Amino acid sequence: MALYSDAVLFNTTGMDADGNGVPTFSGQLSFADCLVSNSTNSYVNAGTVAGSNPGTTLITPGQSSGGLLSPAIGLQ
Amino acid sequence: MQGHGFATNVICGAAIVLAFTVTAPAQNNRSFVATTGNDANNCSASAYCRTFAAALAVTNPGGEIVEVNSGGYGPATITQPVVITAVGVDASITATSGNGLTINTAGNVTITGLNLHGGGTGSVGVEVQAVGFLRLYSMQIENFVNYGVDFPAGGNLAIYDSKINDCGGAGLNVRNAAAKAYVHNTAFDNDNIAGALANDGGMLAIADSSRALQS
Repeated sequence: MALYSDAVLFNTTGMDADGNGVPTFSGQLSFADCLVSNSTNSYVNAGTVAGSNPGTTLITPGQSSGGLLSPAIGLQ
Repeated sequence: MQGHGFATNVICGAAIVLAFTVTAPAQNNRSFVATTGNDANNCSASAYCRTFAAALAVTNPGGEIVEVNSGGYGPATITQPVVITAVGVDASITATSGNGLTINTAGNVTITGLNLHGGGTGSVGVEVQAVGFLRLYSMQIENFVNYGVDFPAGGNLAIYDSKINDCGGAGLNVRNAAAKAYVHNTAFDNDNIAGALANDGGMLAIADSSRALQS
């Protein structure tokens, strides 16, 4: 999944890449220039959750998360 | 006189054949539905049908169905490429059981401006069993038990300028490794599991949209 200029607000989990238990698919989520705020979990990463670098995504403080963000994706 | 009579009989026979040809069910390139229509009509611009199902039955593959005025037009199954257009009217499908629209065609389907209501008991707003390319423009899809749009098929999906909300599963579920979906300028809110899901290897890109207040 790819998100661009997306607002993710007031959710239990803002962004989720858990692969849905499918062995051949580990969840992959890339994002750029998004706003992720006021969710319980800003993201849950059991696969790949990576922002762009440079990028202007704002993940506001005060949210929990599952796992760590994956290394940012540099512009090619 | 006998000769003349024979000629007359031939002409009458030809006329009967012609009459059968003319009265065969029409297949329209463009069909029309209206709340004042009747499904016994041929869905032409001068004889509207009442429901999508009737209009689909008399529309050529690749043809168009136009909603003439505001109202409800009933759940339907689409098994052919078609364009359904509801511009400038409040055209709806209320499906309190089953799906609002079920799509099962290898061709392309474009739907503009329809409102799909599940009433809290309908299953899925748009169930895509098969499609070449499904385009949903300016749709409102709300209050279905499962999904606003369920896409277990391969093929392509584009959703523009739409609102998908209050669905018990997810607003959009793309769940086929051969599926490619793009969402632009669309709001998902208060869908129970998630605004938009990409499962089973399905590819989904979302831009200039929002997903809010999912539980």
